[in-house]
Amino acid sequence: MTMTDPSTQARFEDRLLERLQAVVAQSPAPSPSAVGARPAVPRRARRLALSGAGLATAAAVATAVLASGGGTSAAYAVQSTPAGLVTVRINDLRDARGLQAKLRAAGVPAVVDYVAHPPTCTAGAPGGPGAGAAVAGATTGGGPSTTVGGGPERGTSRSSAGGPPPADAGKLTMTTSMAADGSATFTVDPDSIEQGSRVLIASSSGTVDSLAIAVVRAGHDASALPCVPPPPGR
Amino acid sequence: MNADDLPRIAHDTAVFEAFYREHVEAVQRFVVRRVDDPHLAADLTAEVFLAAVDAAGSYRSDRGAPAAWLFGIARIVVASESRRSARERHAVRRIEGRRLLETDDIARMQDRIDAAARARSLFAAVSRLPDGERAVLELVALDDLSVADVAVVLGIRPVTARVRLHRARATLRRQLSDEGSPTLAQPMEAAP
Repeated sequence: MTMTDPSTQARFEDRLLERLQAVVAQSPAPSPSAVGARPAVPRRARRLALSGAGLATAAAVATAVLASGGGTSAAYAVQSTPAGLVTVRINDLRDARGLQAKLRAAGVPAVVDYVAHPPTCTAGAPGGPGAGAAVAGATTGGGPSTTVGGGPERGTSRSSAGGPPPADAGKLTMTTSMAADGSATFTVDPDSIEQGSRVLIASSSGTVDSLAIAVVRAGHDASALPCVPPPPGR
Repeated sequence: MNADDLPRIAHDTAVFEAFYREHVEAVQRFVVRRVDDPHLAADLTAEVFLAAVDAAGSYRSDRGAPAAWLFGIARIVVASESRRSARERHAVRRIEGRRLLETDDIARMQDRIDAAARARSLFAAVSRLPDGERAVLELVALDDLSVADVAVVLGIRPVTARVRLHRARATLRRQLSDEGSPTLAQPMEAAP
């Protein structure tokens, strides 16, 4: 595609490599015991996830970003509790459609998208009307395209490490937690979801630790899920 | 490079170099399908690899090839850029790719940008669709939902979904053919 003589390549690319290698060289190697283990990464991964949560909650009242990893054999499990809540456990980002169907059968109007990047995150012309509208509600607050279940007084957003769901289920829209084995669990009260709203479950980078969950109100763009996380270093 | 080695790009410069050389061209092409400024493309190329280094530990080879994983990161990086405010754009980057560009590099980046013009117009055309139409189109085209499912998802009537899909397709077809036509149409119009 580039009409470039290979012999003249390697300028910008080489200089950039040099700079990047300097960054890599400064990163401490993981301790031997941590190599291959899940927590080898987490300091940065968590920062990604947390900054993502900030972005998402700016407009998405009931958004939670989970930090976890790993996986077990079943991709997911959906359970209805006697109290009418629906608990979902996601071990692995497989079979999005199966999970979506299960959730809908359980009364949760879910949209599950494990494609590693919400389509509307795609940059069109920066600042163009369409590009902005696609994500504005979920990020910059500049547009009305995405609103999330209830309102500040109704929704809650949690992201915790393995803790039990909070007790304020009366107002609860959803809770999330991260289990020690790296699975992500969230609990939804189907009755707290307004008619016509959808519960969106999406991944921004194709891993469990980048799952984002949001409720989008009827009439708003279901594909304008929080585009999280942003790259680090910002 | 073996995919299982990927987490090591975060701290092993030799492994990183192999990874970088394998993917740097593809990343640059990915970026210029979305932005048309050589300097910004250089910045974003640097950002993509920095983000990859940061996220390397979370890579799992059983969930996809390194290239796919890297493209996922690239999408996030490019999308984040489009949402940055002007002030944020002036914030310090860890590596300012544009400062590493020299004249020849800019020319090469411009070649890539020119080659990707059609892909950029497609992205731009989709982004100009009204929200409702874009949502239907994306759910059908990218998420593989049926029109009936899309209607459920969006809380609209199936006939509405069908109409929006039809409109979106027609708009895209028209815009893309309009953009493609000048080179063909002008010589004919100029002919006596």
